[in-house]
Amino acid sequence: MALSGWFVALLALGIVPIVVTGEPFVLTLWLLFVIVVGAIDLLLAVSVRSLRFERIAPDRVRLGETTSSTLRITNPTRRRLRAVVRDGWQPSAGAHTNRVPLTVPSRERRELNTVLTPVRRGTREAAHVTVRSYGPLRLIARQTTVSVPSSFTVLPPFNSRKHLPSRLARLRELDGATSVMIRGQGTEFDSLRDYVRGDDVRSIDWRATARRSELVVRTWRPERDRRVVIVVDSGRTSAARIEDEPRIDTAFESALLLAALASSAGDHVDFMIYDRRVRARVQGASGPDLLSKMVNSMAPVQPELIEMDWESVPGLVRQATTQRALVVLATTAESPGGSLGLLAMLPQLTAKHTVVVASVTDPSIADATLDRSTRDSVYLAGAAERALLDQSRVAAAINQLGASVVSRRPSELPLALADHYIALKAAGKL
Amino acid sequence: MSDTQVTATETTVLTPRIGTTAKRALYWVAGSILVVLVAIASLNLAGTAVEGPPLDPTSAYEAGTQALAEVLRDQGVDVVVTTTLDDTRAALGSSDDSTLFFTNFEAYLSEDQVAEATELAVTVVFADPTLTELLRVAPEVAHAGQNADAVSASCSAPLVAQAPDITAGPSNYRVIEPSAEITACYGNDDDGYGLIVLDRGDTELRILGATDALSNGAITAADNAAFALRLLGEHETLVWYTPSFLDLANSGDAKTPAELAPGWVLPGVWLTMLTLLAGALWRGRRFGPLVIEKLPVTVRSSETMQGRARLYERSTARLHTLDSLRIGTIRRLAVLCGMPTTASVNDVINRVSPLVGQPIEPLRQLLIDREPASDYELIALSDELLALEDRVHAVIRPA
Repeated sequence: MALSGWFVALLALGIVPIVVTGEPFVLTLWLLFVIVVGAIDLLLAVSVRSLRFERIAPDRVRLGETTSSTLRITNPTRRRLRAVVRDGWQPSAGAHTNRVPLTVPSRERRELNTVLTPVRRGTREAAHVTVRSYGPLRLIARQTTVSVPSSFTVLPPFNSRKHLPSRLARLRELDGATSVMIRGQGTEFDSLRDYVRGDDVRSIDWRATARRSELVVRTWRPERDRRVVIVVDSGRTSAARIEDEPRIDTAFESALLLAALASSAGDHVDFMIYDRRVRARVQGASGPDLLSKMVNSMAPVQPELIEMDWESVPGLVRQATTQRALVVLATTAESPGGSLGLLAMLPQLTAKHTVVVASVTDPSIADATLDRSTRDSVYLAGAAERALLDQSRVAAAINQLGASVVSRRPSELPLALADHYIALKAAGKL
Repeated sequence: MSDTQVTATETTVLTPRIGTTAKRALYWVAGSILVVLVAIASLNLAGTAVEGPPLDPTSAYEAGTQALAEVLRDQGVDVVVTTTLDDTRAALGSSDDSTLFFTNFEAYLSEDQVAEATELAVTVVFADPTLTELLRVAPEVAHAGQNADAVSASCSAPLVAQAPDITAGPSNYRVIEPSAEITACYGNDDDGYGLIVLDRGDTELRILGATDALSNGAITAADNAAFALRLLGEHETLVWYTPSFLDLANSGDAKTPAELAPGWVLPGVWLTMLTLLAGALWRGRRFGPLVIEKLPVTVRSSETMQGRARLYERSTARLHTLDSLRIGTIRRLAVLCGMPTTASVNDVINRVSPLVGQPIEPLRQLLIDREPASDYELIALSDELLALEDRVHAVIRPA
């Protein structure tokens, strides 16, 4: 049961007869009148229990986009339903309005649209529908909550896809597929073709030229069908927020951009999220299928407050591929203490594969080193310098073990990783 | 992304029916009623405080006089309790076989009303009059202060013959102008008396200071009971008059706010309160239960750094802090001068010295040797390091 503002107004209106007559007993009469009218109104309200509900929710939506869910309410009774309906979506599902007035005539059905702009990745659920069914006078309502469960998945936004065209263009340049026709920078011999003015004279194949009467040049193309294995750390350190983005989300962005790039460059991408168990894995997919599988597997994964188990990572990589591969570890390489596991495991990987450690750095640390205004800030600057030193020590250790480090602030990491991949590919180190 | 539609039709009503709610609430309602009942019962059994209005014939407290009133009734005296002067006047009527007992502790009665009361019955007992009241009704008697010793009769009035010893107090009175019409009894060493009887012809006025003797707490002590029964039980009717605030209204033109206000004010106030309550229910009713959402963990990344800074500060690790700052500066200077980050300090100093036109020794002091003795020195050194970086930067990459 719920009172309405009209009920309160009706009750307050009692002041008129009381003042006019000046008799105390009028109060009792008025209260009786209000209670009787309210009770009749309540009895005339449609019982929510007799209504039928159906919810049509979207299946998936990318974070930052807007979708809508539809609630169908059928009124099988002989009375008209006058109600206010609340569609109970979770707060982060971002429902724009969740209290909607609705009238459903007898034996009819109405639809209620809720516009949703989710604010967090993962599975967003709607638990129930609450209906306040008013009587014809709208004084008192029957309030009932009905469970109508449904949910949809909010996928990672993949904001860095805006960088994809420019990086793909650079890949095509490597490929020799552009009109510029520069000498292929890859290492794989592709074919012989006639010399055109502008070609690098160093690429002229003299032996072939000798066989024919025209100048012939060799062309190369970048290696294809290489393996790229991306391992995202979903342990404790990935929960840290840098520039209002958890590390794991930055790692997802980087992984998506790299995977998109690598799959269009003809490489095979394996993707896994791991802490102490495999949280998600995508293997053997390519093209658009790969990205859609990756975002789906990423969507529900949140960091766990446990330490990453690096010892099992070489085994995981071995399961993915036995060939030489580019192994990208998206994790945190900040303090020597926290990176012990990573450093101990790296030699096993670097012995066979090219390893890149992608780490998000906190730009506020570098900013803190420059602020020397107060006593507190000098001590903070000292601690920040110390943190930077730790970072460079870890990076040096990783380099010594034969892997390379890409560490940037969140907005720059995906692009930096993509460029690193292109550089490796151009140098033929895959 | 894809917008595949998913339909959910599996519904369950979560709100319990009224019957179920009532059944669930029954336990608590019954429990609360039981608690209230036990509380009331135990309050009644334990009885209570010793407080209560003094000389109240309906009060069973220690200061009340219910015991005396009940015994007088048993003895056949018609005890009438009144609270206004009008009622008193009506109860007494024109009877010439009645006693009036009254007090004016709370000063509800004006002097005129007191004077009127002292003439209403054949026998009037005025308990504990004040100085000003005595000036008006019995100028020959004066107040003699407070005294609470046990006293003996010390007079020959028949009234006190059976009760030689009573509990005295709280007040005593003194006779200023002795005459044949005045009898003073229960005196103490200081010429103060607990009871003074004035014969006024139609009326016998008894000024009673020893009112403690009438109270429930003391009535059984000494000869108090005998004294009280003789004092008040002489006549067929006893009117026990305890003035109340109703006498106030009759004593002047003043009216209570309730009388001044129009009739609708009180119900209006009630209606306003009920409306406010209904308004609170209207606005406060929750629109269905909250939707539960599991929030992800949030860890701030710079926590370690800030913790370390606080640790340095608390333990005043000045040299340690300064060394961290120096290492940072040296690394940046090395990069600026095109040396590897692993370059030694001496190499960096040798390279920087000609750039900034500074001899090697003060640079060595700044970058290696000096130890800060206070926070002030630490801040000064850290500023010097920044200034050095700026100078090198200006030389190598002029804007």
